[in-house]
Amino acid sequence: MNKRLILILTALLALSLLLSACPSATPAEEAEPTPTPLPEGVVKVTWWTEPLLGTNREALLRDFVDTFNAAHPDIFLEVLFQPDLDRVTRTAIQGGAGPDIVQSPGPAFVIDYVEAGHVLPLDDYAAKYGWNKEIFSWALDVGKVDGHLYSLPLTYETMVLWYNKTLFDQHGWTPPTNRAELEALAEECQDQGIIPFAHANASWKAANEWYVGMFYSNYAGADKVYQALTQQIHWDDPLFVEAVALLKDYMDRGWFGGGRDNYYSLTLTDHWGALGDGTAAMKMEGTWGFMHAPIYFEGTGNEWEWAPLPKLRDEVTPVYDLGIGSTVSINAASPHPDAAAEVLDWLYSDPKRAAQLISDIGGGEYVVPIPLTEEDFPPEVDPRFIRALTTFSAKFAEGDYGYTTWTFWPARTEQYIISGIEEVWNGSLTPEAYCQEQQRLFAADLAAGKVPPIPVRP
Amino acid sequence: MTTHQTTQPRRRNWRNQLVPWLFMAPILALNVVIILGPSLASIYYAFTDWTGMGRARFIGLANFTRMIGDPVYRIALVNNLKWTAIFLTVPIFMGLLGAMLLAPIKRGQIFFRTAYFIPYVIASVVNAQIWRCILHPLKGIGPWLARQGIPWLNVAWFGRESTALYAIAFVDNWHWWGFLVVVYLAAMQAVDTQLYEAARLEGANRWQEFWYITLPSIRPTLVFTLLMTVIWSFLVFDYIYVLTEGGPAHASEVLATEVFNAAFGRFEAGYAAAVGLSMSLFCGIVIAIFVALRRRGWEI
Repeated sequence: MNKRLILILTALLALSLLLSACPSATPAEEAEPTPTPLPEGVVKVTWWTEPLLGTNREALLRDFVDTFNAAHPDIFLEVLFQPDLDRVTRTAIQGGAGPDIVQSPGPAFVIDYVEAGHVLPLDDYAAKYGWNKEIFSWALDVGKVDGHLYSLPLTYETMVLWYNKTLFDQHGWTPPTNRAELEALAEECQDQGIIPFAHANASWKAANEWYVGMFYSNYAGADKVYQALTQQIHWDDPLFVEAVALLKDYMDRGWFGGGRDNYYSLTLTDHWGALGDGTAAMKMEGTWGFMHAPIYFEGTGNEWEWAPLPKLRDEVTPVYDLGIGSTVSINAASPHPDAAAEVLDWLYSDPKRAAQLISDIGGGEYVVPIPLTEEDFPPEVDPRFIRALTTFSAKFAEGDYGYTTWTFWPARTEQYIISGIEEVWNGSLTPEAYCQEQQRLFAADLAAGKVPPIPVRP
Repeated sequence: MTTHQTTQPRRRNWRNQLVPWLFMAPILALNVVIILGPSLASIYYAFTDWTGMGRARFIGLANFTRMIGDPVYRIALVNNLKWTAIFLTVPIFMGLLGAMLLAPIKRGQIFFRTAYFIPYVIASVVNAQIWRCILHPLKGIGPWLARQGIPWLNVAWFGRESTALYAIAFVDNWHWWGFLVVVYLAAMQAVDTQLYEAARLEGANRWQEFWYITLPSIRPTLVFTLLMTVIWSFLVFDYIYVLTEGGPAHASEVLATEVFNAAFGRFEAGYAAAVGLSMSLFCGIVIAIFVALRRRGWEI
C-alpha cells in the first residue's frame, strides 16, 4: 500500500468518525461530574431522563439539580441525559440495574414494572411528604396499580389548536369552535394556497395518535371515550367509526400537511416552520408546543396563539384531553429509596421552584401536576402559557377532561392506533375494521391488566 | 529413553494444540456471552409470551402460527425479498461495471476509488439525513427541478407508499455500490495479466475478456458478495428505520423493523424473538445452500 493510499484512507477514517459523531444515537451524557469519591455519608441518587438541548438542559441542572444538591448535603443527585430513554431503562431494569429514579413514558408503561416487581410502592412516601395535599388527586390516582401508588406524573399536557395569529388577523379569521367553522376555514385556507393544518409525522410517527385521540374526544365525546376505556361500550361503536372516517376525510382532502405524501415526509422543523412563516394556518398539537412556537415564529414577523380544539359534533361538550408525558417511580433495586423519594418530593413541594423550572424550560416539559397560580411564575413567562396552564389545570382539577391515547391506552393497542390509521388513510383498511381490531386488542389488554386506572367522570 | 522420546512429542503436540485455544479463549468467551447466550435465549423466548420484562410463559407454537397469519409479517417478508432482488442485481452490476471501467485506468484511480468509497465510511444515519434533505418534497432537488421545468421528479419519495421502499434502497445502494467497486477491483487486479494478453492475441474483445477471464477469476469474491448480500438483505434495518420507520402504512416494513416494533413498541418480545428466529432461518438456508455447493465442488 503506498503512502498516498494510507493517507487517503486515514483521512477517510477521520471523516467517518467525525460524521459518525453527528447522529442522535449519542451515549448518555452526564449532567454534572460525580465527585469521586463521594464524601463520607453522602449517597448518590441517579436519574436517567430524556435529553434536553441547550438552555433547557442548563435550566434543569440549575433550577432543579443544583438547588437539590445544595439543600441536601447528604445526597448527591446525578442526572444522566439518556437518548432512547425508555428502551435503555427497560433493559437496565430487567437486568437488575438501572437508575434509582425510573422515568417512563406514561402510567400504562409502569404496569409492566409493577408486575415484575421492579418499582417500589410510594404510598408511605406519599403519606410522609403529604403528596396528596401537594399533587392533584387525578395525578395520584392514575399512578396506582391494585390500589397502591407506584408512579407520579413528571409532566402533564393537553391538546390545543395552535394558529398563526398574524395570518388569522390579516384574513379576519377567528379560531373555529365547531366542525362547520373548522371545515369552512380549512376550505378557505386551501383555496388561498395555505395549508390548513401543519401536520406531519416524519420526525415522530406517533403523531398519528394525536389526531385519532382528538377526533375520538371531539367527535364521539369524552363520555363515550370513558365508556370505551372502561368497556361499557366498545371501540367499534358507530361514533368512533364515524370519528375515524371523518379523520380520513380530512386527510383525503389534503388538509393535513398539504397531502398524505407530505404528511409522511415532513419533519418537526418543516411543519412548525410552515406555521411560523404562514405557509400553514393551524395545527392541532400538544401543549409541549409552547417550547416550539417561540423558536419557529422568531424572525418571521408573525405571532402565534392557541385556542381550545373545536368540537366536531354538536352534541359534544369540548374538553381538554388529559395527557401525561412522563412518570417517575423508584427502582426496587435502588440502594437508597429514601433519598430517591427526597428527589421526587423536590419536584412537587415548592410551587415557585416548579414554576421557575417550567418557565425556564419553555413551558412544555416538567409541568408537574400541582396547583400553580400566575403569582408562582417569574414575570418574564409568556402570558399565553400561563393562560393555557391555569385553564386546563383548573378543568382537570374539576374532573372535566378527556383522555389522550398515549396516557390511557396500553402499549399494544396504542401502537395499533398509530400504525393502523395509516392503513385507513391509504384505504387498505376501513374505519370499521380499524375500530374492530382496536376493540379486540384493547379487550385483551384490559383482561391482561395492562390498562392504567381511568380517571372517572364527574 | 524410549518413553522419554515418545512423551516429549506428545507433550509438545498437546501444547501446540492448547496454545491457539488460549489465544482464542477471550474472544470465544465474549462470543458465548454476547452471541451464543442471547441466541439461545431468543430461541427460548420465541416459544413464550414474554413482554420483555418479568416472567415468560411458555405458549408453544402460538407465536409462529400468529406469524404465518400476520399480514404485517407477510408484507415485511415480501419487502425483504424485493430488497434482496434489488441488491442482488443493481449494486452488483454497478460494482462490476465500475470495477471493469476503473481497472485499466492507471492515473487517478486512487481518486475514483476514494470517491466511490466515501459514502461507505459515512454513518448510515448521516447518509440517510443527507438524502432526506436532497429528496425533501418542498426544499429538495425535486421542487428545484420542477421550477426548472422538469416536474416528474417532484415526488415525496419517502412519503409515497409506491416509492418509499425503492427510495430507501436507492439511498442504501448509494453507499453500498462503491464498496463493491473497490472489492471487485482488488479481485480483478489479482487476475494474471498473461491471460488477458493471450486472449487479446486470440482476438477477444473487452466483453469477451470480462466474460471468459475476469468473471471466472473473481468468482469466489463475487459469490461471497452475493451470499453476504442475501444475508444482509434479510437483516436490513438502519436506513429503513431512519427514513420511514417501515411506513407509510407498512409500505417499507421489513422483518427487522417488525422485530423492533414488536419488541420495543408493542412489548411483544416473545413474538419479536419468533420473527427474529425466522430471519435466522432464512439466512441459514442461504448459508446451507452455499456450503452444499462448495461440497459439490463448486469453486465459490
